Amino acid sequence: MIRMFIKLLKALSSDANPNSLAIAICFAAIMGLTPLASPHNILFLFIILFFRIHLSTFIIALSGFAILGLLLDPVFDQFGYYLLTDSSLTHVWTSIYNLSLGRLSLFNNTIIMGSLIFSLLLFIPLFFFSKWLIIRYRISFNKWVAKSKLIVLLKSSSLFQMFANTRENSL
Amino acid sequence: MSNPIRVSGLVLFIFIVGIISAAYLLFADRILKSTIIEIGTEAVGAKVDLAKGSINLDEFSVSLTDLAVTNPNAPMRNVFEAENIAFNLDSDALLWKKTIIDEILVENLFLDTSRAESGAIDGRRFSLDNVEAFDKFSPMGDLSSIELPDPKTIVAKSNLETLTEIEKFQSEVKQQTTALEADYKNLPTQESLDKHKQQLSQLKKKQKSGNRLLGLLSQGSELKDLQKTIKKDLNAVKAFGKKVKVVQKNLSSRISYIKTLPAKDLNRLTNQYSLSGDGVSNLAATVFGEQLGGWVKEAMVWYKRLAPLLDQFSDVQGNAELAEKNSFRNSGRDIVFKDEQSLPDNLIKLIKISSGEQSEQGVRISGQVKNLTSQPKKWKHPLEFNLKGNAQYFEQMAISGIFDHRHKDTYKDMFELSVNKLSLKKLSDLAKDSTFVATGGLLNIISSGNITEDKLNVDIALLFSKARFQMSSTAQSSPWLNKVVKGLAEIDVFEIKVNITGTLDKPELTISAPGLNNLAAKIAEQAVSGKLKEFKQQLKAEILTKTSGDLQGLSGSLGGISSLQELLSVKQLDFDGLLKNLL
Repeated sequence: MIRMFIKLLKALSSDANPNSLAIAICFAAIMGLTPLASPHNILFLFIILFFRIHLSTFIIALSGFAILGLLLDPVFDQFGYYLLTDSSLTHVWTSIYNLSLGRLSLFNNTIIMGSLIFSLLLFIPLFFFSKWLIIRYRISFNKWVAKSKLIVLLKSSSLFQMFANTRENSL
Repeated sequence: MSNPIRVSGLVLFIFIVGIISAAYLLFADRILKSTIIEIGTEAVGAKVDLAKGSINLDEFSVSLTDLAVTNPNAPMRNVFEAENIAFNLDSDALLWKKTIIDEILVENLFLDTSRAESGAIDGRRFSLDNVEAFDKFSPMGDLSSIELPDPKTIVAKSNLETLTEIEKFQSEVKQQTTALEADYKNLPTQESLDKHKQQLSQLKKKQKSGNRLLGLLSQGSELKDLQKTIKKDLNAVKAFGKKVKVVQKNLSSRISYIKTLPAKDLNRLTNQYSLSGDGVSNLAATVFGEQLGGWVKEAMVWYKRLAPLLDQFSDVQGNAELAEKNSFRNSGRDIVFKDEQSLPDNLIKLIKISSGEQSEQGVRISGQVKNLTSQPKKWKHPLEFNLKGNAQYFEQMAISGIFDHRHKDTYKDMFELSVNKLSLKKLSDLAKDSTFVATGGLLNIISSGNITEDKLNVDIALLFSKARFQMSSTAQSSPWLNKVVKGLAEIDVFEIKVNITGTLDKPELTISAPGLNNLAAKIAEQAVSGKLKEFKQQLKAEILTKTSGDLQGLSGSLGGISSLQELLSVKQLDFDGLLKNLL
């Protein structure tokens, strides 16, 4: 985890494209807020691994969103229930329900539906907000963080030295 | 700009999916086994054991070995155990999240086998207490020690027929007196009599003073008229007198009848409260009621436990498209939409059960169960079962039936059961806390019943032959029950009929055995004969105390009619006298 954290800090401090980091946060939001074992997460896992999305950022953000997801379960349950029982959408849901893939997707579960729709709606605002935060961080906090006691301590650790000596990989 | 595609990521994805799949394949058997044990234990409320569970994903076949389900009400026994259970899942249906099994083969199924260790679990979900007890069949214990009720209390709370009749009689007397008094007023009055007298005296005066011949002629016709009128009045008085006499006679005979009623009340209350005759004529209910009630109650609990599994979506509205499945906490709720598939979510089309070799313990079962599903409304056939069994302690058992839950609110479950030559001794061993222990004899059971919309109608006929009993070691010594035991030994064959009505939550049990009534009456009379004499005397005294005042006042209540009778006699004499004077 420390290694991931160091990688995240390095990425934040580097010239890495903020879009890449922001999109990792957005995918982490989808996978973290929805139940991890949901069938749709196989697709998102494939996207995250196949496309060059910053994995350290993704994993750290995933941990945070997973905790948040657990806390928000009752809200997602209510939201999902509202969506699934809305009479104007019944026809759509019934059509999906009568598809094999639809049935296997577990879309008719209130928490899965509520959390997935919520995280998808959050995707674009979260992308721009994360990108803005990353840029703000690089402008305002980068130097302050680099001088902070925690980072100094981390940098002095043997793990960091060892990690710094290795070629920074694409991950 | 770097390549947006990460080939190593694809490899990693395949690796992760591969690892998960491999782990699943590797541990599939263990996962299956633990899932069956966990879900089974949760559903039954007692331990479910499974020696081995294996799943073959190529053929989607499952096999279970040595499955044993504990009886939650007797944790040292299994409800059933099966040596092998094998079935194939329909792979196409699985893509629709439907569990469809064409055929399950169950080999060597035994019911009611013993366990090496207790299968009880903490916090069991089900209990016999869910069903209301048959309170009225609680054991009566030692009848000879039963205190006969207090005669004063009995008389105080009973509606004595004597008092009821007295009340009715008095009301009738009042009514009759009023009617007669009204009729009396219509009779010729004293004024009419005086008028007649005056007319007569005038005629006599004329006779003395006027032309004798002419006077005689004209007065003769007037006298005739007067005579006619007086006769008419006299007849009216006489007719009314007769009527009063009839009423008086009827009421007097009623008084005589009412005076016999205290004796009838005494007999009725003696029979009702002294445990003789009708009081304990239903020996079967008294002696066997508790045990039979217990078994019926247990059957009820099992039915109530299993019936909801056969009708999981009972709250789905006929034309509604949405329904919710029950959910577990933090797992959300599954909303069910109108399914265009004709198949239910789960269905076992056929369960074939084959029995093994005769076992020293347990009931060997063979037969078929068809169309088992938790969504009967979505399947065209009802659940059918046809099972046969035998054991060392009975010759043959057969049960068949149809549980039809296909139509909302009009479900109908029917069954027929027969058990031949069941050893009463074995049955006694199975019975818990019974007052009696059977030492010999056989029992044949024939039962049929239906449960329609929660209403029960079940008939059970129990035919005992050469039944021999003795008091159980745990039961308190009772001369009364000892007499029952001895009495039963003298009867070769007797039948007990049980009828269960009411609802599943509140079943009502009626037990009768007319063949045992004579024995019951005889035993009961002997059991309480000493106290009965004293009880009867006290009861008689109480009844007389309560009724004597009213009884004494009965004759007095006819006073009004007697007075009327006296007035009529006087009136009749007056008219009679006048008529004689005229002649």
